[in-house]
Amino acid sequence: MNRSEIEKRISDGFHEMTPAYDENLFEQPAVKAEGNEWYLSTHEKKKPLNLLPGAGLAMAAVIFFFVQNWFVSAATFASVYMDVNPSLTLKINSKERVTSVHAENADAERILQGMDLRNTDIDTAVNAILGSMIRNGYLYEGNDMILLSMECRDTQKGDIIRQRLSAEINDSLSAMIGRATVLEQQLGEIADLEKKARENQISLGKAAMIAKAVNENESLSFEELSQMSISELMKKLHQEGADIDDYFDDPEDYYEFIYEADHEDQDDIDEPDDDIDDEDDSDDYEDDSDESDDD
Amino acid sequence: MSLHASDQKKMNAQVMDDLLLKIGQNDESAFRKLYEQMSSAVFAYALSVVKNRADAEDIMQDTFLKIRAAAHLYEADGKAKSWIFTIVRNLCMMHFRENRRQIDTPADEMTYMEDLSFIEDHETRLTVRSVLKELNDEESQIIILHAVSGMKHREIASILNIPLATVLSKYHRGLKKLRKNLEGVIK
Repeated sequence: MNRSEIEKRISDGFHEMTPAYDENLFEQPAVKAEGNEWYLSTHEKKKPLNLLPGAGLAMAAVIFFFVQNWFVSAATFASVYMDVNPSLTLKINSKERVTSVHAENADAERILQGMDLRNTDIDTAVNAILGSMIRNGYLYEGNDMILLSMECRDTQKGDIIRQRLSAEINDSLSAMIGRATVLEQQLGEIADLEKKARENQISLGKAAMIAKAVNENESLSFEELSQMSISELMKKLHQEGADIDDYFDDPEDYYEFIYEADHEDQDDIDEPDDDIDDEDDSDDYEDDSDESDDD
Repeated sequence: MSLHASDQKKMNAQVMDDLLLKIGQNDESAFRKLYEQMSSAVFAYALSVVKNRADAEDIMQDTFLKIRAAAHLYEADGKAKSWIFTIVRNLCMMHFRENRRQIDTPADEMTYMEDLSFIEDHETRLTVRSVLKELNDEESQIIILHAVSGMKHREIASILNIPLATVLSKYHRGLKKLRKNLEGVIK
């Protein structure tokens, strides 16, 4: 059983056990709290959540597009690069509609087979590509990492589009495969990388990530890193001590990633609890708040 | 993914904040919606702590009464789940203080199986039983909070007042134990 299956069973089971809503709950008198009640006391300050914009979770299984007759501006407003192991480049116009899609490698060609994404809005196109990646086995639980890169004439608008797409990818993958790790970057000057990206059959987004790593660590090989999937690449960079946290928009994803990368080979589950053991559990329930009456 | 589990994930912070705001204004419809979204997570967590169905139900009911009482104090900052689970946890702590003698009494097999009889599907029942019986307290609480309420690990760390690294470690260890326990029993 994979993680999402286990969690689904747990969720389903407790849902069945939970008593249904009882209208008496609302009819019982409730004395308004004043703010210093014992049941509201916290133990530490909370850090602000990194909220993602809300986005729909629905994913189209197969999308069929027909060639449109009306004119669509072909001027490129932004380029969106998606890398898993397939590497793709999507160009969009100022109305955020796809003007062209390019497969950078054979895996990407497989993903795009049978799809015509021209004149589709970028959100739909990205979801269609995700669906194809899942169907073709490039994304699944255990391999859920994707790099989303953006290059845009209008940096501010580019940020907005990128963050929105990142949130949608996160929601869609989480719904479909139980988990998602979306890496993001906004690209700056990359003109001199085009040749290298083309030679190594990767997108400019992945090329920029690799170029940064190679610049910081000369022992790394651009060509060798190009062959890796994004997940493999990130593990390699983590092993080499590269700064990779900037690619993770959600710190939770970064913590999960480095934990799993550092414990990949561990299979022991019987190690003793060396941080908190059962004897100390009662300490958790020591009264460290003021005694006060229930309301 | 079951409808209610996916609803948990969809129930974003803004919606939760809005519900608490309305409950603070005595809106029953909002209270009911919150109950439908959060009751299983609250109940599951309480059960993982007190290990007794009847007590967990009492704590769950009391949690929602406290929510009604204090919703007007909630500051909409996207942390509604953390706020709610702070209440649940404090109620569980009070339960232990008031019933101190029960801490050392282990729940026996028969009690667990009776408590889980509400679950129709055999494999689901086995999974829930494993969470409650085979994991240590923190592992089961962490996995329940993650699976049933959709909370992130750092939120869980904040509620349980333990380091994030510990949450991650226990979460992964708990999952491994569950897989090992359930392999061969569940397809």
